[in-house]
Amino acid sequence: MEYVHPDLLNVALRDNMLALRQQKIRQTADVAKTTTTLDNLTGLELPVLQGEMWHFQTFVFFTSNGTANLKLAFRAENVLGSATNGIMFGRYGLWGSSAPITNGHVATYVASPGAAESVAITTGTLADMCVLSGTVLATVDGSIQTMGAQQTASGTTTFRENSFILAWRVDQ
Amino acid sequence: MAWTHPINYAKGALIDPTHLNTYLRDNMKDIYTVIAVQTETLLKNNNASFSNLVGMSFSVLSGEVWSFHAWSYWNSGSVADAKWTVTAPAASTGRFGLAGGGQALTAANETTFGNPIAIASSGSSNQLVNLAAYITAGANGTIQLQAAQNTATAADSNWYLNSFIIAHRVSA
Repeated sequence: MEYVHPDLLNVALRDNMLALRQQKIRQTADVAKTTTTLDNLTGLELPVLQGEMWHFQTFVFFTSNGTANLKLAFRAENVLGSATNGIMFGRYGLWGSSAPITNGHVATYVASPGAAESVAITTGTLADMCVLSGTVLATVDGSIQTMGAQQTASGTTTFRENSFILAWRVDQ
Repeated sequence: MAWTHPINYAKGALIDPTHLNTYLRDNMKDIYTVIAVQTETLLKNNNASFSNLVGMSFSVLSGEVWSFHAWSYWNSGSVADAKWTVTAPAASTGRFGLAGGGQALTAANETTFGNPIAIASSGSSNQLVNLAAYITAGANGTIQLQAAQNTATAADSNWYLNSFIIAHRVSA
């Protein structure tokens, strides 16, 4: 009979599993926008526990137009789902087949993202894709919620179902 | 099976077989990842018919959900431009798209597997695009990336080996 020391399980199983942790989260419905007011992209919410740091990429499928363009942001929420300042830290940015309008990246996760906490790019009229990439460190259990809107109110901008977040845990 | 946070094993703790199933087997399934590399350069000349990017593929089972992101190194003239598609087993659903340095020509995201997503080429310089998809497999089979000239042109277009795809299986 061979005895397994618990530290072996903790190091070889638990810690290694935590190091490999991933999250894959999809947008569960189309979100159509005709205004510049940021709204949640349904389901595109990354939960983060206290003390965790994550790297993530959010692949956003959309249609818009050359006047409306688009903007994206993240709202910081606590574990109860309440928008909260000062709990999530890091930086996130946006790129696609187009040019940044205001910010290409920002360094703040806040309860109510405004112009300073949004990233925006130009768009055409054809269906397209852009990528949000960032890191987030949580000081309490909570989440970051992806939000989207038009940069300039014009026509309809649709953020498509099956846009998704891939996230990898950075540290333990 | 969804991810379950692995426990901390204390000295003298019993190792229940269900622990190994939950914290090892099921968590390994949750983080299952396939990384595949393009193994030969695809050359197209006066040819707008899709061909496989050899190696840029992975196997799926009916009902499985996958997300992937891929990086495709290519060059093409500004008349030929370039297009990609994703083929999937029959009855698969989801969406795929691309973002890169050129403007979308037909569409840069699609829900019909096998349809083109195309962007304009800046000319003869080497270029890079990021492809992504969220897919529910409708049958057993293969997810395969393909490429071609967007407009058949008597000049070389290349999609280079060592492009790569990273695919993550999503838990039910």
